[in-house]
Amino acid sequence: MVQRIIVVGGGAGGMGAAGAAKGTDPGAEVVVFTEYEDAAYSPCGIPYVHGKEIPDFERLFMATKQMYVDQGIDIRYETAVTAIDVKAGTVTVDGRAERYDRLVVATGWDYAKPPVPGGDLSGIYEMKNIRRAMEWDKVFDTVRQAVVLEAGPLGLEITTALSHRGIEVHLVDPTPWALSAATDPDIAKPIEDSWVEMGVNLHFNTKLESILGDADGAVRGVLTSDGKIDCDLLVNATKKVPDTKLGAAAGLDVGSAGGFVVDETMATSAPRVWAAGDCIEVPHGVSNVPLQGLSGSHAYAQGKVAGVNAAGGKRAYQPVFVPWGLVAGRWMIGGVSFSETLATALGIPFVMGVAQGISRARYYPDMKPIIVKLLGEPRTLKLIGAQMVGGEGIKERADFLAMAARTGITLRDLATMENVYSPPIGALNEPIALAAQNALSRVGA
Amino acid sequence: MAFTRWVRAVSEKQLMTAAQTKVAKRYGLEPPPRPSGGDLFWQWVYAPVFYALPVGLRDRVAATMPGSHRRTWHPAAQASGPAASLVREQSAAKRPAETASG
Repeated sequence: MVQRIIVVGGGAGGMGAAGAAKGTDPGAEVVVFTEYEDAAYSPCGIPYVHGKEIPDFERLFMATKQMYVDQGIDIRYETAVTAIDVKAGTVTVDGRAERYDRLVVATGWDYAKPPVPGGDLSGIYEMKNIRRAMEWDKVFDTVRQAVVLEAGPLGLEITTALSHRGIEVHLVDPTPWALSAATDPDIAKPIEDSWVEMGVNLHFNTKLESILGDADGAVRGVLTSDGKIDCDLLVNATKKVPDTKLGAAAGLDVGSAGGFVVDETMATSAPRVWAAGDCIEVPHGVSNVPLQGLSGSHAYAQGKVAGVNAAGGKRAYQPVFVPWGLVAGRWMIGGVSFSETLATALGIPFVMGVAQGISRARYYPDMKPIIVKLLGEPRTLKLIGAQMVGGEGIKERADFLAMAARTGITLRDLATMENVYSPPIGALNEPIALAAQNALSRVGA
Repeated sequence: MAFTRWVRAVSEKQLMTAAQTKVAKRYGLEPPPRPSGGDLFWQWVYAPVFYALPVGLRDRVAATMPGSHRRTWHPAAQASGPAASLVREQSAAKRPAETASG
């Protein structure tokens, strides 16, 4: 009998699930419901089109609608699912029940709404949907001053992008430095300095108090704890919050991080229902504390696991060590698991080493500096976190260090690691090894 | 919002603020603004008590919170040692014969 697998959500998690389900059971009927006009594009690429590094939005689409038709995946665009009935095994679409044998919920995330007056004014941009991004991109040509709200990953990217567009940008954040939830001030400093060089105005330790509009209901400024800032565009880049309304109303368990509770197969608390992406929470590999709101690569991999299992296959996801990285200002920044600040916040003991190295041989053109900070567990010296900033080579090091943390590699191992030496691509001394050696020397090991 | 979600969200924010204050001091930066109103309790009572608790007790409390960590998760099995040990196996195989002939 042909099984009917319904996927709610057309983002990375949902499309990963749909493709994996079809791959596992080619005879299955796979139906995706998405509220949006498109599926399978890279929202992570949007800031780089805004910043003109990528010439057009079309390049962000990973597949055409016809390709999904050819694969036998039935995507219902601009179609909202309004309810799930896990007992009946149905979802409600346009007032009628759609039956499922297996369901994957991938409803994603939304921006936290600033709890201040003025949130309903026009001129507030939330970077997410590609069609809205296309419309806003034209508006940016008329914008002179913009306020970006909060210096999280998306805030860093859009601040840099708008600055590239020649817009006067004010970055407002209630914490003391950029990316303060993920990284440390010494790692964020080169980025902040480069923003200042680019003309970005930084307002840290500054709380938004209200959004100010004109008689036509358009944004004209913000009032902060540090005074008034004029602007004709406000970009809301606050924390990602999981969109669990639909599933929670259907009785799916939600955890303390705010995402759906799942096991390693991405199975939820309801029978025949899986979930994936930014609407779920997964345990951290070091602390075992559940986390929510990871990257697109996490969402896609989770979607694959959910899709395989929903279609009758067997695949498990792993606790996460969260390698991350991005470009901000004139630098790349990245890391793995714990920063000095996050470990301090959780009261986790650590030893630490820091070193500055270089990305290529010192005499090779375009050699860039790299700062690496490593954190280890004091007794075993196992790696529990890393923070990096540099001109290049951050992504590869973050990926490597995430695997090092996952496999229990110690600072002793890293201090004696072998490394590639070739003048155009690597220096004689690997900055990771230098940071590990620094950590060992600090603890006399 | 469920109570445990609220506890975690507030705890996360307040512990991060406490940590940012300590780390800012380490690096000679301006710390977050001094707490006022309801934040006074969290910064002056909750955070010090949290850090005074033994790590094991904090872990046990965190483990009782509802969430995905309480369901089935297997860390990836880790192999140790090199993938191929041809040289070692040959050496081990030779040893008895060498002893016998010696």
